[in-house]
Amino acid sequence: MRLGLICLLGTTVLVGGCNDLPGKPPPNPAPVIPANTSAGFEAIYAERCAGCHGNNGVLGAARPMRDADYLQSIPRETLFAVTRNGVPGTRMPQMGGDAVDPIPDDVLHKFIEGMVDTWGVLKPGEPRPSRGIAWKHVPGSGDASRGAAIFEAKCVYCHPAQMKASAAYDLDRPGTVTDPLVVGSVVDPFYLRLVSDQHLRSSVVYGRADLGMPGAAGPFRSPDGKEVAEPLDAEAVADLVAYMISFRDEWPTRAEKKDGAP
Amino acid sequence: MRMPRFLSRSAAMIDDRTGLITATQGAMYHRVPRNAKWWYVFGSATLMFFIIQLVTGVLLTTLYVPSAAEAYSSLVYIDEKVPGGWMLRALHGWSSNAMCVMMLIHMTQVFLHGTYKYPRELTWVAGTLLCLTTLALAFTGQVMRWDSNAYWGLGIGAAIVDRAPFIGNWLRAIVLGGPDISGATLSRFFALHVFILPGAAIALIGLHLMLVLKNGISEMPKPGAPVEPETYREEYHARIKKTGVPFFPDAARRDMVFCGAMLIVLIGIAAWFGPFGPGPVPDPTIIEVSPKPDTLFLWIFAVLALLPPNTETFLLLAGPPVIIGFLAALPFISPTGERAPSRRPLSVVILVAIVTALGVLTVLGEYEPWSPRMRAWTSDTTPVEYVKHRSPLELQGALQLQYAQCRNCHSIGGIGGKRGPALDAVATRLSWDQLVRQIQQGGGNMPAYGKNLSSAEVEALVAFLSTLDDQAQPALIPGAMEAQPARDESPTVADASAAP
Repeated sequence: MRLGLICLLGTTVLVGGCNDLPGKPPPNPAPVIPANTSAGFEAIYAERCAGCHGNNGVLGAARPMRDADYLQSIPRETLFAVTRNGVPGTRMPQMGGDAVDPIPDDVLHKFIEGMVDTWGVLKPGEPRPSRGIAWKHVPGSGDASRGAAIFEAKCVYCHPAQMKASAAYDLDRPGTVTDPLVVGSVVDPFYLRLVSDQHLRSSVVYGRADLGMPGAAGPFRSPDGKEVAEPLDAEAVADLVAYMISFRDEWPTRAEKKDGAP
Repeated sequence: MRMPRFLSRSAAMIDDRTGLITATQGAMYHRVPRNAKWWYVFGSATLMFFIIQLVTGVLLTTLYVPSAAEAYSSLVYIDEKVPGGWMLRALHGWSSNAMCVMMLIHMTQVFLHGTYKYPRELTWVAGTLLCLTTLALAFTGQVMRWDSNAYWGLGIGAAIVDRAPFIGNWLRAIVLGGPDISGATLSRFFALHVFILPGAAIALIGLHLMLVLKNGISEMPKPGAPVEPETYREEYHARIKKTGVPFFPDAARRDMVFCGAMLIVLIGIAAWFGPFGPGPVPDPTIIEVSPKPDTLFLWIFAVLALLPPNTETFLLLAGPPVIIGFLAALPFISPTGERAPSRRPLSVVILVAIVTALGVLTVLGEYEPWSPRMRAWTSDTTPVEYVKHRSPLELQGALQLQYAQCRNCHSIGGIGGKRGPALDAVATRLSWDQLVRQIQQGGGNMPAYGKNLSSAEVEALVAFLSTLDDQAQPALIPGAMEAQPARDESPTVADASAAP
């Protein structure tokens, strides 16, 4: 009788206590995080975008996405289309549509929403690097010769065609520069063949704050490295882009159309 | 305590008609060597875990729905709604692992003591078949979870059979029940997991135990007492008669103590760590999946990752039959002679080598990217220090490195494949021209990418690679790290403290 009672008690404790054991799995399926919440969009970003656009949207090889000015200026539909279809001829792959293992359109819409809502928040009163200049490149716009003059005045210090031509080139130690802002040519024909005109315009308008490159608002550097506060206007942006584009097929002369992406 | 009269009479009647009780008593009280001590408990523990598998497995089949649409949700139902259901799954999963581990320990002990020699050759062969059955049960059981890991395991398994010459496609269709992983695949593996393999296991265990009873439990090996088929049986029976003890209770006592302890450990582990999976649903919209096989099979995937590509197919197809054939043939290769490990150094060396290799490969499987990470090119970032102070062309090269999925085989910043060399210091080893040639023409294990990349893409890639000097290590060969004439070079910032 007593033994039976003890057994019963033991079983009750065992069965009743089961719910408190550490091995009991958490509620499952783990709640699916909607893509337009911060966590949801960041998870997709980490999986699909971070490789090129950088951890947390900055300091990747490709343009940073944690850029409120940029995200606010580009229409969501454009962001969606670029992400879904990629940019042919550049290294931006398609992530939706008929890509291998595509992101469904509805998820992609929410992803864009999540990204703009999270990283695209402009702080009130903060100056915009783009000065509100239009984001879109208009083919044929701008004047290359005017662009050349602007480039000489504001860009060439950091983007010399040849490192040796830079004012920051360290003659005592060949191959080195004294200023970390000096990074190299943007009129390299090979570089220009790998990027779209829109990429050039976006780079001029929005800059790359994560790497220290200013947007249209400046400040820039004069050829001898002094600060130039005067910003670019919309016309100057178009001229600069036209100037850079003019180098694309310069050397070697044969233009390449083929894109060798897998 | 005496049995009531009607009970003993019923027992006598049943025994008279069936012979069951006599047979059981024969098995219970058969004499075993006195020195058969704790070394011999592992086989019994393996059997106990199998019985736990059977009991929990049967209970699980009453709850599990073997259909592709509902398998996953039925697991969730078992975990959440069925009282103690998660514990049932945890016990089933962990006892499966425990059974495999016990089985391997048992096999090791048998191998080490040379127990497979005359007259127990067929006991060993039956044991080898049981080992395969058990591993097959573990693998098919993993498929039952029908989560992304199951998909992954199946996909790799299918890819392996697919490589068989001529019959690969046909074999794949047989394994998967069609060209692809589908509902038919689950039904097929369900049938294997709950009917065919357990049936085979029960039959083989019966055979194995029958043979153990027939030939007796082996004595501890004694150096200088080799197995001679002419005299072995007589000597064994004489010794057992003189010094042996009845299996029950003398030897069974140790088995029971060990099995009891193992059972407690099993329940503890199951309660603490819970059931395996189910992992994420295999669904492209659910992200952050890093599929991985169960620990037992990790070593296979490490092997897959480490095999040189041109030998892979051959070794994958020829390896398992050779290994299994060797295991099964072992008692016929060496049926007589010394049993003591101290007199069989070669066997000990082989055993140590196998155990070490499996252990190391399992650890590698845990840590190494044992198969290409399909998301590596979009998820593994370029290290920030390789992005800073790079020219626009070099940044495009960094993008090309991601885009062409170079990191499936090469790592930078410690992330990426291990098949090719890490690229962090590639600029110190190869000059600009050598980099171009390596990319365009391939060489070593690397395919030629000349036809797949435009000259601008190669240029950008080489421009980026030629900046990877592992924090300004000196060049290892003449000409390395020198920019191509007339091309721009990566600026090195002279004063590092001035960097932002």
